[in-house]
Order: sequence, then structure tokens, then C-alpha cells
Amino acid sequence: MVRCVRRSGVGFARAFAVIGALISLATGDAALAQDADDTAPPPPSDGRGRQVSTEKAPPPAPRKVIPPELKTYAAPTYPPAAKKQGLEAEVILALTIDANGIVEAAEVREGAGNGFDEAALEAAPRLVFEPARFEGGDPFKATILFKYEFKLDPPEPPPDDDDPPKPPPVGVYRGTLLDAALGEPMAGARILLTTPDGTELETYSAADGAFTFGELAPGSYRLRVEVDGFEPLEVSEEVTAGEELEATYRIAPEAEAGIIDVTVEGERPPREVTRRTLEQREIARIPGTNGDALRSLQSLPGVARPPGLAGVLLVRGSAPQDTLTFVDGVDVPLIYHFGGLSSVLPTEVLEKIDFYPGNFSARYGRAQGGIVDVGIRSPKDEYSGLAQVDLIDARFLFEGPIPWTDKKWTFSVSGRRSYLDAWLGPVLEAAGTEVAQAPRYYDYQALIERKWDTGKFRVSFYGSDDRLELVLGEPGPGEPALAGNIGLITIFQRGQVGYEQDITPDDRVNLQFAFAHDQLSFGLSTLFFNLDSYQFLGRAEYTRKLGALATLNVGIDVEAGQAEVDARLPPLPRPGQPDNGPFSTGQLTPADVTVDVLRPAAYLEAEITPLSRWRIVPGLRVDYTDDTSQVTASPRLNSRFDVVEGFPRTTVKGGVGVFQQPPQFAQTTPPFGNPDVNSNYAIHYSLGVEQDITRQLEIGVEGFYKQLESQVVAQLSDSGRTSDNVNTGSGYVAGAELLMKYKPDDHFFGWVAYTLSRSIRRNAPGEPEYLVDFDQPHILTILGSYRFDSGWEIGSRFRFVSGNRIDPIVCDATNQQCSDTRINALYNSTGGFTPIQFGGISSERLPPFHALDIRVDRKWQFKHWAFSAYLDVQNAYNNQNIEAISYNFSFTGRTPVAGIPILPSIGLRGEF
Amino acid sequence: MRNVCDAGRPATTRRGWIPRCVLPGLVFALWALSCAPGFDAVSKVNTLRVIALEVDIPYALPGETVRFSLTVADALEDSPRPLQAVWIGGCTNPNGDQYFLCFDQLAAQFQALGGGGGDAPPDPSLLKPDVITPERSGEPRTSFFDLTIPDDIVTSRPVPEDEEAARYGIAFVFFAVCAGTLRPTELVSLGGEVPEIPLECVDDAGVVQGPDSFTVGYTQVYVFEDERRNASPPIEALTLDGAAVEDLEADADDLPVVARCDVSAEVRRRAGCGEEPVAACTKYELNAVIPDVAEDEPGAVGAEGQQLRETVWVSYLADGGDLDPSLKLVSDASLGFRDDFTTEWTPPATPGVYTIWAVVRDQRGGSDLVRRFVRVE
Repeated sequence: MVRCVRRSGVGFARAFAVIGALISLATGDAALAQDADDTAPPPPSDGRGRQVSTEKAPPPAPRKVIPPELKTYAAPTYPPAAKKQGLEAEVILALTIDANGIVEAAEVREGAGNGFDEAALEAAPRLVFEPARFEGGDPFKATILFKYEFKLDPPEPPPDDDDPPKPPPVGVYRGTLLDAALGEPMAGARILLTTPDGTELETYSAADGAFTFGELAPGSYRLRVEVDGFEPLEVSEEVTAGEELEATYRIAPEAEAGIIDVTVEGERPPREVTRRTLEQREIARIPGTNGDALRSLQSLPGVARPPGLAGVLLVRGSAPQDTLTFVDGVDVPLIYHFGGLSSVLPTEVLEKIDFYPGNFSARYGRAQGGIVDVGIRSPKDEYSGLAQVDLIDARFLFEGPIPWTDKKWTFSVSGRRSYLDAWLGPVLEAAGTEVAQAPRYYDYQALIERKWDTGKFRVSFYGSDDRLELVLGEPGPGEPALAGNIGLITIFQRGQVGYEQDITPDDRVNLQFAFAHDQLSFGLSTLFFNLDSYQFLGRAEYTRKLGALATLNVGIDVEAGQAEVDARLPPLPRPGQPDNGPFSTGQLTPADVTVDVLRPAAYLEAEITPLSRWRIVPGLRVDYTDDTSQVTASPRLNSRFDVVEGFPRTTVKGGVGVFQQPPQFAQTTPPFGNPDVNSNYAIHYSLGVEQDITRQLEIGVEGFYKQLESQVVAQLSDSGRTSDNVNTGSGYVAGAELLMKYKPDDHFFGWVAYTLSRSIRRNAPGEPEYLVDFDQPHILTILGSYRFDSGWEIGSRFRFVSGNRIDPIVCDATNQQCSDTRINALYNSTGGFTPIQFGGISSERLPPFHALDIRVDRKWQFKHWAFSAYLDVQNAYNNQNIEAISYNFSFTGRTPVAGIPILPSIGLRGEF
Repeated sequence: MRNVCDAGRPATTRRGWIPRCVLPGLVFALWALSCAPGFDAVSKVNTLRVIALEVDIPYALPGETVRFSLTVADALEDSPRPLQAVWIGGCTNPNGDQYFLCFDQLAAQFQALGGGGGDAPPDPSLLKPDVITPERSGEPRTSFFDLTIPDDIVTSRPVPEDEEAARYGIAFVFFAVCAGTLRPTELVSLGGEVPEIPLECVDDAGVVQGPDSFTVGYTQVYVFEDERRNASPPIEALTLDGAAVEDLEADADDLPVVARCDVSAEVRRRAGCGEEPVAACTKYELNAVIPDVAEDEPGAVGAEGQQLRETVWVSYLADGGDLDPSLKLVSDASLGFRDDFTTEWTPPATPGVYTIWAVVRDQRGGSDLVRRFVRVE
């Protein structure tokens, strides 16, 4: 498994730490002679007359000693503060080098302060030496003195056309090798790096598995790792000018090399306060999700549990529509298929999922909740594929190079279709419902891509199609005029073109354009709603490095198109609006409108690193919403500060920003909406700390507060309509999140996530506050998965979540205000009853939800292919979680409705 | 049930047009409704029960007098009991047609009950007390109320912004029926927008009665500017296994006779999903004979552009046994008249004379009602 971290350059290239070190064997230095190998040679003197020490004075030996020789240089980072002050320095270290040439220990012998000592100590373990040895004899452990010189570049001369061209900025490639079986650092591995021009560089990994290639020109590099007893590893990486690429590679023993997944996960420097990223192994193995990538988000802090089969994402107390989902920077209207059983993109095609629960970058807008940004991965350049079936759907993927393009062009095609109609249809029919089209979904993805050293070009087409149609033979007593067909069709398609290019080492463009088609058709007897929308979605971002301290991002983000709406519906309800009797027998509102959509935006964002440990990201986004003729500005500021750099890292982070969200089209378009309504907005505040506990274990705590203003709500109007949309709503969400995570090693991953929150709304000034019905004060998720050497993996997830809030009609007998003589409903002329809510909005909380999910995986590796199977059991102890309350026809009695019972799912998968 | 659709603001999709949780909510509702043992069916009349609330002119004109009538049965143990009823009118065009916004308008009438009266005496044209004797329990239209529609009921409303929308007025009428004595209470709210009903029903001992003995309801009459009308659908006959059931008194000798089903009401009520304790019993087919009289609904066009008609359905009720289904669609708005709207009756376990009602309604306020007696042996 490979894990890469790309960091912006922080000036180390300019720091230009010079190895002015003299390597010599010292003598008579007691302080350095504590761990010496007893076989060490006597301390000689080097030819340059500098002192060289060994750790212990060995007995006199007749043979000549060859001192350690530097093989791989590791550049230290120039302390930014010192550089700002123009300070230069020398630091002399005492290095203990083992018989493999690996730096075992380093300590400062002559320090310089001002951050120089720390920088030198940080770099020293990455130095690799040819070990000290007797001439013609065995190597042995030795201690040497090593000097780092920190010198500043001379001031750059003014530009002169006659000057020779400035050499391009360079990048650094740092890596760490781990034994995939043991999870321990792998020292002494031979590492070959092939540069873009074909030159081969060589180095060996240090004691902690680290290696470094410095001063690399930007471009695509091929890395090969060779070590006896292990499978060779070959990967390609992009080195960017002025940036530091960090990667961790897990090298598999030969015997089990075939079963180690190699996946790549890219990370940009965080522009946001909090970005939660899941590794592919975590995504695929979280119990209770069927290995679905986007469902795994529901195990993260800040994400509430949606009720029942509602396929929505509830982020930090925000409503579902407040969180947007993007695919390669282009937004899509759905994140989950029907019922939330799976997401609209299969896990196999994903490269990454970035989830921003708040305080997100100015790159994202039109949302006041959170952001999910999903990246589709590049196709492999070797032919491969997979097929999978489980109880919910079947899928396939095939990818590889396009023939006759010399692997410059690659492709992938994939698709998935659900089986829901095979078993849910008969279930509904057994319940007395005639089924015309049982629920089913499918999705598809096709992609071709061309990559080169400095960029890539991609054309993709993907989409999703959900359908359901039921025939209700007889109406229900509550809405007797509703009978016949109930149908829902949800379709979206995206034809997308992406182009990413490093114009120069300091300039980069990223263009994403998509032609989007959305279709929503909903029918319920005589009520219907049909939306057909064709839009252009475009995003262009230009990134410019402004020296070592700042990077500027400028972008535009456009939605434009047209939507046709044909509907016959009752007026949209107000929050907490009482039931007014059967709406199907009231006066319905017809609509046949064509809506022009134009929502352009521009943003500007800087990433400033005044210190290597401090990142400040101010940003400004300006949105125009044509349907409300409103221009909004969203200033944002995020910052991260490493109190302790390196391990164990301590980071303090925080942010504040304005997040504007235009009204929904239904809220602005007559006859349902009011064109005079303005955007909702929220002000996000967050403050948190991240702390490394061990190399694998980290903990993060973050407090957040969202102030909601100008919220669009419907209110009773004097116009004769039920309601008008106005911006009188307000509210807040306050909470704290805890995430203690054990990062995946070769056996285990897991985390404990806890969220404490409170989500309040008020429909208008002077009206009472109320908790929204998805307010969940306590959300606890504990999960872990352990992989055995035998190929078995078992995982478990436990969730404990506060119950959702409801508007009860029949009161709970435990409520002191509850009376069994209360009139809960009024008889109406249709022969049914109109319920009267007991108490205010969301006045009752359902019992807490808790469930244990268990997952067992097994993978068999064959010569040319692999086969795997899993059993995923949701709600393993079959807890009867209450998801709702149902009532009798006259609302004189109530009974709880339990949610999903124990639900096992089996999946089989073959891949080559 | 409420779900996330209701929270805060209407939850809609990214494109903002339709509640994004409609489908999950629908599935969840089906899940919930597909299996709910423990509740009596809507067709079972075993308490004080309003059988029908009818209006003789569903779509009226300004100045017309409209008659509202009530059919009430008292089937609780030791029933029927004497019933006190009250009619309250006078609420027109509440904001957004919300019935509960009438309560403020009608506060004086409510308080006038029981002699409260307030500052002004109650207007007899808007407040009518009534009594239903035990002998008339279940009899069609035993209590009625006449209301004259105000002349300005339409013109007092603003013209709709949408030119295609019909301009109309609406008049609400409330009623309460109590197996005891009605008395007014304070208009209080427990936090919701709808206040608690400002009436209560007490027995002779002054004990407040619950919904088994006390029902409050409302209906409304529409008045359109274009003077459209709506004819009520009629029930021409009620058949039992194909034979018309005559409209006879309960003590008549020639009532139709059916065999009892020896499964108690409690066992039937508690039956879980998939269980059918009455499977071995003889079942009888009931059919309300209703002609195809559904009218076009002005201005209503379906998704395919077709003219929509009014929806018509029939409800079956009985004070013994089980009716399955309780409600049948007679005419679908899109698909039109359905030729089969029969239901199946499983007689009760206890022999006796039982009452069956069939009520046909259209979605525009029209209705008709028949009552028939059947002997169970």
C-alpha cells in the first residue's frame, strides 16, 4: 500500500543546507563512546586532520579502517524564521552509524539555535552511509561527527535579459518503506529512481525505512524498490516544483505479495480546517456498509445517522440539502441510490473521498453545510478487471491501456445494477401492493485518459438511474383521493472533460467542464412533478506559486442552463406546519414553467506559510444567483499551526467563514416560490487540535459553531396562498467532535468517533426555538478491523446514536402532559381524521439507536487472479431500533415502528 | 410520521425541486404500514363514531344556504347513549385555508357553549346545539345545520397571482358530538400551532371523556368565482353476496342472515403479520352499487396532459365483524371508473343484528350514505 503526502515547498530548496561536513573517525571522545560495537577499530586520524571518534576504543588492530562514506544526502529544512532574519549557521552532529550504514542515533554536539538544531536532527536519520569497515573486512558500527551548514542564497540579481535562464525550481521526493507483513520500517532496501530523462538514481533506505531524493526536476518518476525476500515494488510518482512528495510504501513478502493491495491516495495541503480522508482499505472493510465508499462517511465524526432508509447525509446538524457532493469538482444531485443502500459511484472507481464537515475552501460554494468531493481514479496501464455480486447489486469493471497508443491513453468502463427489484418487489406484493416497477438502480462510468509528465486530460461519462413504480390498488383512509400509481424516477448524467496542466513549475491550471442532465419525475395519483434539466457546469482554477511562502488559487465556478418543470402539487409545507386535512382533496397548484439557471461564481484564495509550521488560508468567494438577482460575498479564513513539528505532531487549527447557499429553485420559482427571497447563509467557526500519540495512533478534537442566518422558510401569507417563502429563519448548530484513529497498518485499522451537538432553528424572530428532527446530541461510533496472516479479516462497528426527534400526534404516556382524554385529531369530511400535533415542533425524541455490525472477509490469491468473499451483517444482535411512530386511523393509539432488523449480506468478487 | 423532509426547511435535492427523501420516506411508510397489528381497522365501529359528515351543496354560490348533516353511531359498551352535539359556523377564508386559524374567529362561539356567552350573545345562525337520542344512533343524517354563505366570500379574497388559478372562497363549519355534556375550556396550546380543542366532554360525574365518547370535526364548502358546481355521487343499492339488501328496520324479520365467525374480536385485533385467524370463516361480499358519475375537474390536467376527473371512493363500516378492505376506489382521477369496488365481510363471533354502512364520497365534498342491517346467527 502506498500513501503519499504532497506538501508545498516551504523554502527548503532555497534553504540550501550545505553539507560541509567532514566525516572522520574521532578518537577519545568518551561522550560518544557508549554504544560502540566491541569489534570497532581503533580511532585513526583522517587525512584532513579533523577529529573523528569511535564509540569505544577497541583494542589495537593491525588492519586499516575505512571510515563511513556518505551515500545519500538528506537536506534539512531551512528554518523559515531564521531565513527571514537572514541567519546562517553550522550545526555539528554526532551520528551513530550501524553496520548497514544506517544512522541509528544523532545528537547535537555544537548547536546554533534558531531552529537549526531541530532541522539538522530531523534530516540526519535520512542520511545513508557506506558503513565503516576494516579494509577487506566486515563493516562495524561507528560514531562520527557530521556538520550541516545552513547558508542563504545570495540575493537574486535584478532581471537581466542577458542573464542565462534561471534553473527551474526543484522538488524533493521522500519516502518510507515498511514491511507489509510486520508493519515495521524496512532498512537497507535498494531504491532506484528513474528520472524523466531516463537517468537512474540509487539509494538505500535508512533505519527508519526513510529515503530521500532531493533536487529533482519536476516530472514523472519511476520508483523501483528491491529487497531480498520481498516482491519488488514499482510505482510512478509526480514530482512538482517546489513541493515535497512524501510517500509510504508497504513492501510485501514474496509469499503473500499477491494479496497486498497497492492503492494511491493523494493529498493536497489542507486548505481547510478539517478534511477527513479514508484510505481504500478502510472504505472497503468498514462493517455495515457493504464496502460502499460513500456510506463509510456515515461513520465519521460530525455525520448524523439518517433515519431508516433515508439516503441522505446529515453533516454537523445541517439539513440534507445543505451538503453538496462533487465528482471531480462537478456537483451531482445525489450521493446515494434509492434508500441509501449504496452510493451512486462504486468504490472501485474512486481515487479518494474528501469530506469537509465545515469551514471548507472558497473553491466550494452554494452550500452552508458540508462538502463531499469524490475523485474518480485513473485507469491502470495494464489490463485488469473485476466482477462482483452481492445481495444488493452486481458490478463489473474493466480497464487498461487503449491499444496502439503505447499506453499513453488508458480507459476504464464499469457498471452496476441492483437486485432490489428481485426481492423487494415480491415483498411489497405480499404486503398487498401491486408493483409495476420494483425499486431498482443502476449506474455506469466510462473514462479515457491521457497522462503526461506535467498534466493529464480526461473525458468521462457517468450517471445514475433509479426507478420505482407501485400501483396502490386502494387509497388509504388519510388521503382517500390518492390511489393509482406511485412512481419516482431519478436520473443524472454527466459528460465531463478535465484538463490539468503544469504550465510552468509555478503555474498550474485545472479545468473541469461538464454537460449535465438531471431528471426527476415523481407521481402520486393525480399529483406529479417532472423536472428535466440540462446544464453546463464548469470550473476553472489557476494556481500560482508566489515564492516559497505563498500560493494563490483563482477560480471560476459556473452553473448555467435551463430546467423545465411540470407539476401539480399542494403548496410546499412550512416547517412545523400542522396537518390541514387531506391535501389531495384541497386545491392543488399547477405549474408549467421553464427556469433559466445562471449561477456563476469566482473565488480567490491564498495559501500562506509564513513558517513551515503555520499555514494561513484566506479566501473570498463571490456568487451571483440569477433567479434571485443577488450577489453574495463569502470571506473565509482557515489556519493550521504545528505546535510540534514532526513526530509526535501537535497541530492547532481553526477557521471562520461565511457560507452562502442560494434558495432552492422551488423556493424562488412561482407559483411555488418567491423570486424575492435571498440566499441562506451560515457563519462557520471551528477550533481544534490534532495530536499524534504514536506513529499509528492520532487523536483530534474540534469544536464548531454554525450560526445560521437569513434562512428561507415558508410562512403564512395574506395572499390567500398557504405560504410565502421569506428569509426570516435563523438558528445555530454547536458541537464538538472527537476522533481517535488508529491508522491502517498491515493488520489493523479502526477509530472511535464521538460527536456532541445541538441543532436549533427559529422560523422567525420572536417565535420559539426548536430542535430539528435530525438533531442527535450523541453520536458514537467504534469500529475496528483486523487482518490475519491467513487471509481472513474480521471487523466490527458499534454505533450508539441519540434518537431522532418527532412531532408526536398521540402523546407518549411517560410525558407528564400526556392525557388519555386529549382529542388528538379532528374528524374531516373525507371520513378520515386530521391529526393535531402534541407539543411544539420536534417535541419528542425517539429512543437511542444502537447496533453492532460485523464483517468477515477472505481473499484467495491465485497466480493470475484473486477471489474474495465477504459476509456483512448489519444489526447483528437484532436490536429493535425505533425509527418512527405509527398511529391508528383516528389517532387514538400509537405503536413504535422498528427499523432494519438483522440484515446479513454476502458478496463474492473476482479480479485480475 | 415525520422524517428529515420536515426538518427546518423542506428538504429538497441539490437542484432544489423535490423532497429528496420522498422515495426513502415512501418506502419507509410502506414498511411501516405493511405490518401494523394491534390497531382496529378503520371500518370497525366500536366507539362513538361519526359515520359521515355531509353537505348537500358541495360547491355553493354566495348567498346560498347549505345544509350540513351528521350521521353518528355510538357502539361503545353499554351504548347507545344520549348524545349532545353542537354546530359552529362563521369562519370564512382563514389564512391559507388553514382550518385551525378559525379558532380565533370562533372563540366567542366556543365560549358561548354552556352559558358562558362572553360579552355578546351567540348568533343562532352560527351556533346550534343539538341532541341525538339513543334510538337514532347510526341513523343517517340525524343532526343537521344550515349555513348561509356570505355574499362576499369570494370577492373578499385577493385575486390569485396565477391567472390560471381559480378564485374561490371557503367556509368552514365545526361540530362536536359528546356522549355526555359539552363544556368550553380555555384555548390553550401545548406548543404547536394548533391549540388544544377548546371544548371538553364530561359524563354525569363530571369526568372528562376521551375520544371513545367525544368527537370533534370540521368540513368546508368551496365557492368558486366561476360558479362551478359539483353533484354528489349516489349509492343506488348495497348488495350482500350479489343480493340487494333492503332498507329495513333492525327488528325486521326478513333481514339477510349470515353465519357467525367464531373468532373473537380481540384475537383478530392482535393478529400479527401474515396470520389470518379468520381464514376458516365464511366471508361475504359487500358491494355498493354506484354509477359512473365522476365529473371532470376544471383546470386539472395530469402528467400526460390528460383531463383529470374527480376521485370517488366508497367506505364500508360495520359495528361487528371485519371488512377487508375498508375503502375502495370507485373512480380514479386518471384511469376513470373502476367496475369492482366490492369488499369482503367476515361476520363477528357473537350472534345478533349488526349495522353496515357504505359511504361514497368524491374529493370535492360530494357524498351519499346507506345503512343496512344484517342478522348474524
